[in-house]
Order: sequence, then structure tokens, then C-alpha cells
Amino acid sequence: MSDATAFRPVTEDDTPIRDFLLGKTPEENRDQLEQRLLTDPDFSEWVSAIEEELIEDYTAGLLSRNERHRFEDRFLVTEERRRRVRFSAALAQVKVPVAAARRSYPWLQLAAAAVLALSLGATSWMAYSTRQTLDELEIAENRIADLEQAQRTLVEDYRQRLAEAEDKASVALKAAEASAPRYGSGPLPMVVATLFPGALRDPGTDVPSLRLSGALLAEFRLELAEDSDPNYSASVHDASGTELFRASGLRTETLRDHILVSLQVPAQRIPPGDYSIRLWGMANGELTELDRYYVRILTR
Amino acid sequence: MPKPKAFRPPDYEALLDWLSVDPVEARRKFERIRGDLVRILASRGCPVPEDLADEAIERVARNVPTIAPTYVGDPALYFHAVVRNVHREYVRGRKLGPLENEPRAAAETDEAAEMNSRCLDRCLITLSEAERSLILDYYSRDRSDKIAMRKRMALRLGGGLNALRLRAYRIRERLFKCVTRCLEAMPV
Repeated sequence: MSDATAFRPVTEDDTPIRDFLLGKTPEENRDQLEQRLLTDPDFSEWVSAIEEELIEDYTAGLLSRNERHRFEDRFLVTEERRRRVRFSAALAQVKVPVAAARRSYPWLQLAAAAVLALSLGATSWMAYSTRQTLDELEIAENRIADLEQAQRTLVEDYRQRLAEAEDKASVALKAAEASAPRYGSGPLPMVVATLFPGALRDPGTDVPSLRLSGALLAEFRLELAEDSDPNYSASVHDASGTELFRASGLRTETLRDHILVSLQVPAQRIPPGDYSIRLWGMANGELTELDRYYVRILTR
Repeated sequence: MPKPKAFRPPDYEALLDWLSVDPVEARRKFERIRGDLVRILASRGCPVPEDLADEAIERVARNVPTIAPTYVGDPALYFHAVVRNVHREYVRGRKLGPLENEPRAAAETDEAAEMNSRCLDRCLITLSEAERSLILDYYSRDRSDKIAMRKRMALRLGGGLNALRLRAYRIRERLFKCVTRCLEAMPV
């Protein structure tokens, strides 16, 4: 395994590996790639790293629709991989302030001391047990008793501190959950809504409503009158017009004669409130707003 | 009438010896090969990649006493040949009828998600300060300028972006294993 600090890229381009993981490798390249995977440990580790990035992109809602379907059909086929997705979602939602992340953990030091005391006790016992005289054995036993007592005190102290820390964490967790739902299980839930352009509509009336209870992603399918651009971008704005999220490189798809552009937005970006979604395209070489859509996110 | 083949039980010890004379290295190689076989099968669209990978390994283990003395080259390539056969047979068999016991994602409870988060919190504190800081900065979804932030991290740590990616992956992998152990140790 190579040293990360002296790393030379195993591949210049990640695309063939991502394609492989999503089952898109052409048949003629498949054997070669599979054999390299099995025989080159550095390559294998690099594939593992890209696999984790793919999982990260999935949980962040950054995969295209096609990639997401492939990911769910071809990739999420083992319990371990599903656990990795849950792990990735949980890791991405850990919010640790820098100060807290860098603080020291005194109870860990206590735990280390307890472990040291334990191992010292064991070592002492082993050393003295080999001695022949009863006097020496008695001294050893006394020492062990002392160490065991010290160890019990330390472990008790450690447990108390751990319980306190867990209580605090539990309170913090509940507070965090109240403001943003934690996602951590199963196939990622997603809420889908089809929106129609309404640039002239009063956002206060007749706005389509959506409830995101437990969803990680909201997919907005924005209907278009005509498909005029190869690529679109879309931005999500709150009621004051502040941009909260933007995605580019979006493409249209046709569903039962409707031309749609799909925009996936992480649910945590859109707490309950009124939003406008602006669809952008290129006109005369300039980025131009094509349509505007309104949606109301309801309380979970 | 052809004589039926005698049953040969899989010999995993011989298999490990074949992979390496060093038992620790052999174990490490074995686990890597198994993981890669699962990847290969999943990439080929197999819905039960772990089962088929184990089937391939069992076949290799059964054949090791016969082939190892004369085999030339990397044993991993032999695994590849076997897994291709196992997959081909599986695909042929599937055409005859639907496969039973294909896995489906089990429904998860909030409790499971909570346990996952608790374990993650516990495991994060087992990392060194530098590692914890790196992993949280690297994977935090709070940051909208993730790409720029990772480039800055790579500059600060040296070695380039790919080295950083690998470094983050290695820490993340340790963290994942810690969380897995923690979840296994939790009372059901």
C-alpha cells in the first residue's frame, strides 16, 4: 500500500472507476479492469476511496437521475454498502464546532489510566506469581488489591463522566433533530414534486405545498414550455430572495409529453417556508432567467 | 457413464498459505480479494454479490491442493477466472426462474439511526485531534465551498488533492470499522 503523502495517482481520471462501480464499464474493458483490481492493491484501495466518494455524492444528492438509479440498483446490493450509506449520511451531518473538535477529553485520559492500571495489575500479578516465597506473594497480593481498588475508582469515575457526556450529547442530539431531521437509514427517502412555471403568480396564494417529513432530498421537476438549451441551471431562493442552493448542468427529460428539468435539493437546505426556484438558460450567450416556480415547504 | 467427481471440502488453510507464507499478509490479501470479488459481481449487476463471491472462494479453496503446486502467476487471477464462471452459471440459472432470497433493504428504525449516530460520536473521539479535525472538515456538508475548501486543505497538508482524498478515505475507513464494531456490541 502506498504512502498517502507520497501519492501518485493510480488513475488520472476517476470516470472509468465510477462507471465500473455503477456497472457502466463496456464489456471489452471489463476483464482488464477487474484483473487490475484483483492484482494491484494500490488500485484496489483507490477504487475503495472513489467508492466512498460515490456514496458521499449519493447521500448529498449530487448524482444525476440516471446515476442515482444505477447506484440504487447496482450498487446498494449488500448490507455493508447500505451501512456505508447510512454512515456517510451520519458523518456528513456531524456538526462539531472547531473549538469542541479540538478540545481534549480528560475522561479519555482517565480511561487510559484505568487501562494502564489494569495492565500494571496483570503484569504485577504475573511477575509475583512466579516467586517462590509466601511473603513475596502476600506483598504482591496486597499490591494487586490496591491497584484493583484504584482501578475500580477510576472506572467508576470514568463511567460517571461518560454518562454525563452521553446525557449532554443526547440533549444536543434532540435539539439538533428538532431543527434538522437526521437521516441515517435505509434507501434514501426523497420527496418529488412537479412544479409549473408561475412567474406572475403571487407567491402568497395558490402555492404548491410540500411536506418533507424524514426525506433527505426534495426533487423538483420543473416543467418547461420548450426545450431550448442543452444545459440548464436552477437556483433556490427563500422568501427574501436570498439564494440558498444552485445546481448547473441540468438536462431535460420528456415524460408523457411534458418537458421537465429535475432539480434535487438536500432537504436540510430548505426548512419550512416559501421558496422560489429560478430556472436559467443561455440566451444570446448570456445566462438568462427562463422561468420561475414557487413552492411552500410545510412544517415537518 | 462418466464417473461422478468425489466431493472435496474447501481447504481454507491451504488457500491462505497459497496467498502468502506470512499468515497476517495472507489474511489481509484474502479480505481484499473477497471485497474486490464482491465489487466485481455487483458491477456485473449481480443482486447477491456476497453469496457468489463466497461460492467462488469456496471453489478456489477446494481446488488449491490440486492447482497450487503447479500454478504460475498471481493467485488473484485464478480467483478472477473462477468468479467469472460462477457468475456465468448464476446468470444462466436465473433465466430459468426468479431467484429466491434476493436481498431487499431492510426497513430501518429511528432507533437504529440513533444507534448509528451514537456510535459515530463515540468513534470520533477515538481519533487523534488532527485526524478528527481533518475528517470533519473534509466531509462536513455544511460547507457550500467544499471543493475550494478541500483544495485549501490539500495545500495546507501538502501532497496534493489525491493524497488528501486517500488520507481522508483511510481515516474514514477506520471510523467505519469502529462504528461497525460499536453497533455489533450494542444490545439489540
